Amino acid sequence: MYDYKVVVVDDNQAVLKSLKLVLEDVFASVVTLPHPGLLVSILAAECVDVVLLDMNFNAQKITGEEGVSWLRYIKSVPNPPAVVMITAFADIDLAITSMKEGAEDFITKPWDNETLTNKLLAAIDKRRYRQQQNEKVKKADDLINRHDTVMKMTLDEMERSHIVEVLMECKGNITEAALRLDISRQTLYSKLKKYGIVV
Amino acid sequence: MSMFPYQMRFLVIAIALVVLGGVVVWGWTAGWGMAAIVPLLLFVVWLVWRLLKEATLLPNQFNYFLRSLIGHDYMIKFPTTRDKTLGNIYENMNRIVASFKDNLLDIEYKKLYYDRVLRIMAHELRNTLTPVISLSSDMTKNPAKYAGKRMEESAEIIYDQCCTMKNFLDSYRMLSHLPTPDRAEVSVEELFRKVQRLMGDIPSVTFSWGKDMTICADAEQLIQVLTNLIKNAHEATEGMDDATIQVVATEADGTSCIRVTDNGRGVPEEMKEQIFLPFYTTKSGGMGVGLCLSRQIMRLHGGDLRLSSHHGRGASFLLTFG
Repeated sequence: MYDYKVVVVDDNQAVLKSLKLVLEDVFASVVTLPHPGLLVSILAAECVDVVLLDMNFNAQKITGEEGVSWLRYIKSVPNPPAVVMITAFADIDLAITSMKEGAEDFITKPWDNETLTNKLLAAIDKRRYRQQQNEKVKKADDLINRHDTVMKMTLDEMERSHIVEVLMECKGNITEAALRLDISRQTLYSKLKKYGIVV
Repeated sequence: MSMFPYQMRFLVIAIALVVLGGVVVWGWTAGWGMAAIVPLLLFVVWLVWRLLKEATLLPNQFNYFLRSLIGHDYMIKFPTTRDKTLGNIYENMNRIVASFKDNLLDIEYKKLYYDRVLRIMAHELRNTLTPVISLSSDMTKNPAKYAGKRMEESAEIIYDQCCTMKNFLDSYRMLSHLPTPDRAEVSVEELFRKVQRLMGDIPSVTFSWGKDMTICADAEQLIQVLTNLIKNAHEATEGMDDATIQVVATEADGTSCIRVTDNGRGVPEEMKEQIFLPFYTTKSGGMGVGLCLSRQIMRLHGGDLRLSSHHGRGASFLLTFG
């Protein structure tokens, strides 16, 4: 049992019911929606890991336009879930378009259950990897900004800033901080007084 | 010259040629001067040329006809001529070309029709099979999971899907096995009363007909068409307080027609031809064969089923009989 939340969107009741039965022992939470409009509230409220989205919702116009526009919507919300599209057999153009629009993967009807599960898990992993990369980039940005700021500091300002940071890391423990800074407690105390740092 | 039958012209020229030829030979041996022989000879040559022209006229036209058919050029047309024999031949050749052209159009139409049916059938089957394959596969791999209620639920889903497939096949069968109409003079009043009984009490429906009016039609098939149209009209006027559905039978110049008019939602311009396509439906539960079938029935009656509608201002279907 994987502790993930899966949302399935398809206008066919039988598909929804059968997928719920097949997936509910594999994923902690399986939600079925007959229409993508209902995604709006679900995505806003809850942390969804992956959405399994059907490409066609109109019985007559089997073009997949609707599916693609909903895909775009899903990817536009903050911290979007991974998306696996359900396309019609041999609909290569549509599959390529969805990948370009950010879908993690696609699967055709009818599918093999194991393949579907693997694709869902892989999509979730891809999403997590992307989130981690984003975090790394954010950290790198922060570091660069910090560096820029630091380069503009005077020696005293640098010393002060460093002492504050080490103290924060040591959670106010003077002894530990002094050890880290490789100075005596006495020296540290006088520095604290000098820079007006209150612990 | 063209007034005389083709064969007679040929004979006349041939005889003239022989006679003149004889005269020339006789003149030659009798010692006539060049001044007399040469013109006669020229005349003979001209006659030979005319003879060849007559002889090759029909083969040339026939060759043209055959090449056009082989090359799929159905725009050729042979002229009318006062020569009756030739005229008849030309007329028949024109008829054959027209027949080929009609066949071609017929084949094109049929091809589009069956292309659509097959495409939709494949799509339907694929969609309907998907949950069946998924579910039954999981049931086979994890039998312990499917105990009690889950087993019931799964079996029901699989059964429902199979019923859907069967319904689809049944609908297709209706379209493909439409029997030729068994036409008889039917009293319009009786017909309408039967329809009313079958449809139950729908207050918005009114029937009107010409006095003692009869129609030459297959009663059962016609009832099928009328019930289909009235059902559609009823759905289009759903929820309306002032819904009206009028079924009017009229006769003019020996041709009968029935018109079914409602004041409901109407049909958007872009859908007006599409609604008659097989398996075209905007309803989630519908099969989409009703109108296709109805039109086929009317066409088998030598007539047609046509729609006039101003979107938002209702729809009017006209049944014509041939």
